[in-house]
Amino acid sequence: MSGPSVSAQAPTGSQTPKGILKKPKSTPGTSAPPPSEPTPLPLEQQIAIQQAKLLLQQRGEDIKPPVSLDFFERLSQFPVTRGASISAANPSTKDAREFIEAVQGFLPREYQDLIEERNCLGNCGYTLCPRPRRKYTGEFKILSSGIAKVADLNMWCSDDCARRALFIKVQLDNPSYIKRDGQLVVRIELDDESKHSTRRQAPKNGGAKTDESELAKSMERLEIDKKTQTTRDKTALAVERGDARRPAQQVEVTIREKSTTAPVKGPDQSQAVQDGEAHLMLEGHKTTFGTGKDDAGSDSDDDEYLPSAIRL
Amino acid sequence: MEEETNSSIFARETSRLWRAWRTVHEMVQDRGYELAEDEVKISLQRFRDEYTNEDGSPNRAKMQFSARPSEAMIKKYTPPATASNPNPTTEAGTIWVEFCPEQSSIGIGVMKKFVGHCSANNFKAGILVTAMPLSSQARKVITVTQQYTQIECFLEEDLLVNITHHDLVPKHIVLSREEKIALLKRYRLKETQLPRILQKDPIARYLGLKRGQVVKIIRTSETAGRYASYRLCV
Ligand SMILES: [Zn+2]
Repeated sequence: MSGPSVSAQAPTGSQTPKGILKKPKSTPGTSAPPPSEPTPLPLEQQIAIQQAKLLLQQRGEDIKPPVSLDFFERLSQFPVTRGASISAANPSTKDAREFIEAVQGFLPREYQDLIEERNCLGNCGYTLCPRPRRKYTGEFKILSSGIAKVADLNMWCSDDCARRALFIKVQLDNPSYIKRDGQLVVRIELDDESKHSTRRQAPKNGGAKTDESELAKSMERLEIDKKTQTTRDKTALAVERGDARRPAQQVEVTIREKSTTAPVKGPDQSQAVQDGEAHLMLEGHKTTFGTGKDDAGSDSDDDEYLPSAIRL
Repeated sequence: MEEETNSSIFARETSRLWRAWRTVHEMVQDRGYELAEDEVKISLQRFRDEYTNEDGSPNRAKMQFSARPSEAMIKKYTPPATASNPNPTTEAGTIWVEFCPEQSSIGIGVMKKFVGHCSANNFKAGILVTAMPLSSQARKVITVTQQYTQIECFLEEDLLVNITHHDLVPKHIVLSREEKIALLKRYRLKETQLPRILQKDPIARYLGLKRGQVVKIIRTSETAGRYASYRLCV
């Protein structure tokens, strides 16, 4: 930045970018690239192009287009059908189907956004619930089950809706896929309402049975997940390595021995023995801790880092 | 008893809003818009008279204003004339500022309405001051419409003090496009070689920096005197 840095050598016509490594002595002059061959792109440019291609490819494969704002707007005002017989436990079939089909294309994150969006409008976070959300004040609330954050409670109209929404969220978080119109979509089911109403009346025994079938179901889901997960991992890894693009390119490795110029000998300890410091030597080198007291002479660049104010 | 607590709550809220109102005026003025001095330095008493309801509660729906860019600002944001474009038009335009009366989080609907209002009235920029944070989808509305209208959102809470008035905050000056080119030329830099400032940095938000703009930071130091450094907004 200080002055114009004019290089000593006159720029030659066919100049390749200067590396930071020292050049071997023989090269200047002798090794101009043959003019007939088209000059290959500089290395960094090649790497940049490769990177860009990789990114393009990754984008094409990984990222699904985000859910449009209109969807959020529509779903945040759900349910469309309202009436005395309509409730979160008993939604209209049409609304339920539309909700499921929409949410099948959602990422977990987007489902969270939908809940947030419904809460902004004062609606219960569960999309098929027509009731307004709770509006407790304060920060915490004491319940029979313990202490809960008011912000969490205020997302729903009731604990039942929290459960229903969570049931959807779990299915998005650990998706199993089904085919719809030839495309794989996440399998989403609404929570079985009859199960919960009976469970609350019949204690432990009945509950254990449903839990068992629940377990079997989730095990099945896990199995499918594992399969899809491994293939997904494999492709991701392949993309990261760049294998998908250039299948069989290998890197050539040459091992070159460094030539020795003198016979090998161990570190010289005689001086250290004389100074009585042999016990401090490690591989012929004495470790210091930068205090600079003993060897101010040899370690003089230490004080160059001292700010001027201290030196004066 | 009940009434007394109510009025004291209202009084506190009004004085909070008054401070945010003053800060947002100073901010708009610092960015180069024209505002009358008595509008910026409004007293609490006058603010109370103008922007509260009869019961003393603040009336946010009334708290809105627009400002035109000053001559200097118009000049600063006019791209240099080129052969293909001999008479470039300035990028600076009227700004619209509004306090949002909504008391819960800001959703898509509220945001769309604000953006719609700005574009319908041909405002180049809009600032929405809200009591509660934006939902993530409302934030997305801003990015989607960014190419038409520059929308920014501030929380009332963030405007209670004017951070640029703090002793330890050095002076920041936004460079015009020519000044930026001259700077890069003088130091033989590529713009990526400049130190950076994030767009979400409080000062960058205060000045409304856009990506690629360079800000000059003038610090005073007891030992080095005044010295300038530059940062690129990313
Ligand atoms: Zn509900």
